[in-house]
Amino acid sequence: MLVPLVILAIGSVVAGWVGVPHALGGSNQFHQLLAPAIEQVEPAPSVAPAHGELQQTGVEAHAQESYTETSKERGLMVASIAAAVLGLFFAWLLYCKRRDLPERITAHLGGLYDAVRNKYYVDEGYQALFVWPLIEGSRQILWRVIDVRAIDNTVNEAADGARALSGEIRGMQSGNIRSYAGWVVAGGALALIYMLWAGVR
Amino acid sequence: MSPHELNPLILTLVTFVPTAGAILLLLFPRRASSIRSFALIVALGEFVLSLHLPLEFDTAKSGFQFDVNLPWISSPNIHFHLGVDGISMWLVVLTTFLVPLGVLVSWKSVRERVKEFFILFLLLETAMIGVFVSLDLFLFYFFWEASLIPMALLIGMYGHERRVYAAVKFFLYTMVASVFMLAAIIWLYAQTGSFDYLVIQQALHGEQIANISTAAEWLFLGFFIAFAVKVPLFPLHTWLPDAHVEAPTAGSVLLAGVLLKMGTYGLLRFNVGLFPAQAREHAPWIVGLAIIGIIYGALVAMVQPNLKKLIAYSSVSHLGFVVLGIFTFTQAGVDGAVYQMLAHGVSTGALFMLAGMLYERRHTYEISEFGGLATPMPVYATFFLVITLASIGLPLLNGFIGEFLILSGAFKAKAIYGVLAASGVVWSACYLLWMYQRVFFGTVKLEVNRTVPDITARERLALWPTAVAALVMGVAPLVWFSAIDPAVRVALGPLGRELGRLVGQ
Repeated sequence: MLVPLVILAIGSVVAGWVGVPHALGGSNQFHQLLAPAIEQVEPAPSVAPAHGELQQTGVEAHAQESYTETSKERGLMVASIAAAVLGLFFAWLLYCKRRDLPERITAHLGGLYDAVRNKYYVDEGYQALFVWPLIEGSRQILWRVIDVRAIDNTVNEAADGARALSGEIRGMQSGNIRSYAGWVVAGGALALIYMLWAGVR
Repeated sequence: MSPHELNPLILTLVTFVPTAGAILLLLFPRRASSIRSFALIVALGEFVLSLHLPLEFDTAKSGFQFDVNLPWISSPNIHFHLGVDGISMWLVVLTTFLVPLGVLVSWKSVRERVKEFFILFLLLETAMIGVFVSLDLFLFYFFWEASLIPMALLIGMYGHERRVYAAVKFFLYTMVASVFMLAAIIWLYAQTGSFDYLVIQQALHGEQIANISTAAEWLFLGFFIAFAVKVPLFPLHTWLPDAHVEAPTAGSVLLAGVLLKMGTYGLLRFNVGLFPAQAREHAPWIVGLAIIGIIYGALVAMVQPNLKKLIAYSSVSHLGFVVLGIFTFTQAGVDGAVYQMLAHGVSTGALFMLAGMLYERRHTYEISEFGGLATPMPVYATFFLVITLASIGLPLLNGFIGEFLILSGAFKAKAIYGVLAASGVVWSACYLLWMYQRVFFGTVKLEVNRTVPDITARERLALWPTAVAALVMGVAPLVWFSAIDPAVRVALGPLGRELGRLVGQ
């Protein structure tokens, strides 16, 4: 892990110098990086008559803008440096100077400390709210009930039904001549009844 | 002999070289090593031979190429009519690409009845290629059913514990559905006096058949049910997980890689090609089933405890994308559907090969039996990750191109189709990455997993082509689209496009 950290440390010191802000008299290279891509979106200059005028006001507005930009940049710089210094100070205070403080603060804050340490339980909430219902729903309802019991069972029942029906009908083929004669008579009777019924109608 | 002179012969050769190989295998002595080597040589030679098709294919010409049309039986009027367009040509190459890999992964795993195994495997190759190149409906049906026999035997003889149950279920389920297609084919023959695809297409589109409009409805459904079972479309999919779990590795590779594509190919060639008006009329509920399949297949895949079942359900989800793409009737959607067929063949074929390699080492597919495998098997884990990412549809890998085009077609057809189907992309990341995490990451929990050997040179040889294909297909899709795109254009119109406007798109 040491080598990656060294590389990252070098980067964190050096990389910022690529874009020294205008407020410190530099020329921010990154600022213009995407300009060519965005420029095309601006309205085409072919909207002729007010063209010159438009450009004039454009320049003035630009100057105004760059002034507020500079003060905003300075403000942000001060704020971020202050935050970093504050962080350094507290780190020094809690973990170098007064090692007993962290435990006392933890005890004092109680549940709030736990909540923060567990990222406000967002992961657990997500797990309970989305992941668990999805997985258990898929497992118990979609797979076990719909797929296995409803769909696949229908298929298997159809096959079993055909087999069971054939098993019953198989009894007709007993090899017993008398029973065959009985079936012939029964069939003949059925045919006769049908013909009579059709004749009457 | 110059390569051009081979053109009239090539399809016959590509179709029957594996059969010739199978016949020669019959004469071999029962020595496993020479049988394997010979099967591999035949499969590789077949692949090289099939490359003649894309090399000689004229992308400027529309319609079928390399065609042969010889009378076979005079009454009934059956012709030996073969031909390929940009769609079927690449499916043929996909088949010949996967077969040698299937031979390689069966090298050690098939120990008994080795000769029968490779004979069946090569016969299966002929049947699958025959399905893609037939332009005579009788011939098509012949190859369609012929592919069932070797596959059912491969599952039933070389599968795992419940192999006979799975084989019978696979056979009956797909065959019962195919009977409806046979009825439709016979009806068409009775009306037109021909089994020829082009003649029948002409007759149907020219409305030369009396009372066609009501009959066409039933004919469409007859073809549809046969293909929908094969795809498989929700809710006709339950034979698939059973067949996959029980099938030997090479059987699963061809089942997922090629046999399922026969269903989507049929939908595109026959349902859309012969009945464009009915296809558009029925599109809403078919798209509905496809979208249910995408989401449902993914959610059920997510909770499978068995690695092979997970991949099987992921196929339901991915093939849902293909059906969705076809029934958007947009150029992008159908292009994407064809590409997704090829991409899914490569990546899911590879996933089954990988699952099989794990099975050879641990004799189980239960995900809970693994964990932390990246430590003892780093090379295997790397291949697995590349293929997993290809299957998820990561840009630069093959799955992305198809899914992206299908989704853009779906959005064009109806925004809600696109929105719902796009969620499938997220689900596929859920189930595949979660599976990957449980199998490969963390610490090794079971002692036996600590010493699992990494993959051998032979296994690497089988995996490299799939990984390279996944990458090349993701980076240079135009190699494929130069042939696919014109064929799709023909499939969609001009009559089709005209109808699309009429049926209110």
